[in-house]
Amino acid sequence: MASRQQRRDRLIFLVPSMTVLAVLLVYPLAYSLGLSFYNYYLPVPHTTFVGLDNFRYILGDDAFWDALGVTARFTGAAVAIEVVLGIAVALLLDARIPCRRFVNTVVLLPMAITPAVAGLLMRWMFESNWGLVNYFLGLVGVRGPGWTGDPAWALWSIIFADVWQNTPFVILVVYAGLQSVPVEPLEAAMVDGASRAQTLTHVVFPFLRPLVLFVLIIRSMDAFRIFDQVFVMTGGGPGTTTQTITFYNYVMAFRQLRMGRASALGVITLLILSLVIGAWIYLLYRREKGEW
Amino acid sequence: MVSRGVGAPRVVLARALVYLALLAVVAVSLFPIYFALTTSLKQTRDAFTTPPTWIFTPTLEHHRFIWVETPFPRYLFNTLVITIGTVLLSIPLGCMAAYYLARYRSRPIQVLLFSLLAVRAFPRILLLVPFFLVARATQLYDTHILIILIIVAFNQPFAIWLMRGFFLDVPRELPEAAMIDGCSSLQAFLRVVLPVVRPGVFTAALFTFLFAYNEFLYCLILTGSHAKPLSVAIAQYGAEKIEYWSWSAAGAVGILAPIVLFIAVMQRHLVKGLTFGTLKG
Repeated sequence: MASRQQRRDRLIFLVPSMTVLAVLLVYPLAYSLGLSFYNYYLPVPHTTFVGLDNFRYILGDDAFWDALGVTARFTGAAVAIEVVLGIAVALLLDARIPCRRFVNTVVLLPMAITPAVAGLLMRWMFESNWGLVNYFLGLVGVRGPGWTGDPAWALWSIIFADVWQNTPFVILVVYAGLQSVPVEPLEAAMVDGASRAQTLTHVVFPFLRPLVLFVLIIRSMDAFRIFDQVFVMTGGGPGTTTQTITFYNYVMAFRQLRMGRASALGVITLLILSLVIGAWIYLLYRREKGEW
Repeated sequence: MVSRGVGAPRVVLARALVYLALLAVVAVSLFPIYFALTTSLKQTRDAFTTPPTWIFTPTLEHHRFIWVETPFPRYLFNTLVITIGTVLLSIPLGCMAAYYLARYRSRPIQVLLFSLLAVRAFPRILLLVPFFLVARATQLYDTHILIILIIVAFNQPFAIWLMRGFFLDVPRELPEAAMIDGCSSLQAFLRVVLPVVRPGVFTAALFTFLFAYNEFLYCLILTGSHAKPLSVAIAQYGAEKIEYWSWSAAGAVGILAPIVLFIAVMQRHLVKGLTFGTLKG
């Protein structure tokens, strides 16, 4: 049982923050759940209870499955590239180099930039006529595609934009991890005559494993709900080739004005995410208890 | 870790490759920003050419235009109100909750901590519909306070987790001693514990600031001419006329400049904040 002191502390310290969360997260969540069982077309003032119709509609909706596929491909590709590239650059930075602070700052920059503005910068980079990506490709004799305007490449433009912006996060976390690799096993490996590659695979990588898992979780969660860059770079197009789940949800709610249906789509997204995150939290929780 | 080759030429070669790779990383990181800056300073006819015009006579015309002839100062003002408001609300609330969650341990507290983590993964768009409907029904649509409250709520889990890490480092005896001397637990927190974790508070404030500064989706839907921040205003410059691109480059530079300065000055704190929670687990 909580002591009197603890109950008083809870009231003073915890309750204010939790009240904000309850009013601004839990209440709207409940509202949204309720709404998902109603037919609510914004221009029509009254709503009708339709049971599971909205869910049935979405599960039978090709655009939903397309959007889910786009989101999965985006998340998979972007996160995979970011993690591999991030680890590589972190290892580079770990070598003793001059002006590390400058390099650190520069590498951090993309991460702090407003995602919508990063999308804008990337749209310019990938512009098919005067964009610099195609210009540089031209210099090495490659004729670049139309990127954001080309159905085959539009999603890749967004993937590259995300890689540009978010690889720094991976670099940073892995780099910090490298700084705290315990010295003793490293020295032991050296004494035993291990090559640098062996040291990496047998000493450093196992140590980094929990960090990499953490980065994977955070990055996938963020990538899964990407919206800003899609909005700015392609608007979901050409056609619906870059329409992610979140973007489709936005279209449903604020262009088609189908509030009930959009809520149902949000609930479905939440269920999908919960399954994945449930598994992750289970892993993290085991880590907290020190059971790796 | 330091790479150690066997012979001197191999070391030199390895070194050179490392530098080359890092140079490439730096170039790729900086180039888009450099490009936005030069585009904003070019005459429109120099800005969109193939091959790119590398040498040009700079002009401040686009910057003058957006800051003098469009409501950009208004958007900047909105951004500042939103970010500062968010920091002022979010940090005290988050610190206090974090202190409690660091001081006491129980099963429900563990569950709460992990539920908070789950908020980070939340499909935010799910809450946008209720926010929008409530905002429309009340007088809250297009107000700063609505956006501030929403960002505060979404920022709480992050602030709490980060600050909790700092509070865990404070010895329990510290507030307890103060309380034996007659402080209430709130006084002990404010006078004894808080000063110790000041760097942590600073780090949390920095991140919260960036988080609010960069918010897009909620602002896009929930603000109009009154409370619209920079992030949304810039994204809404269409691409129909080529001049628009120059203007939006100038706008992009306007919104980026503070971030670049911020990062340059605060680099160490940001790195600490990002890696801190991670390494503690």
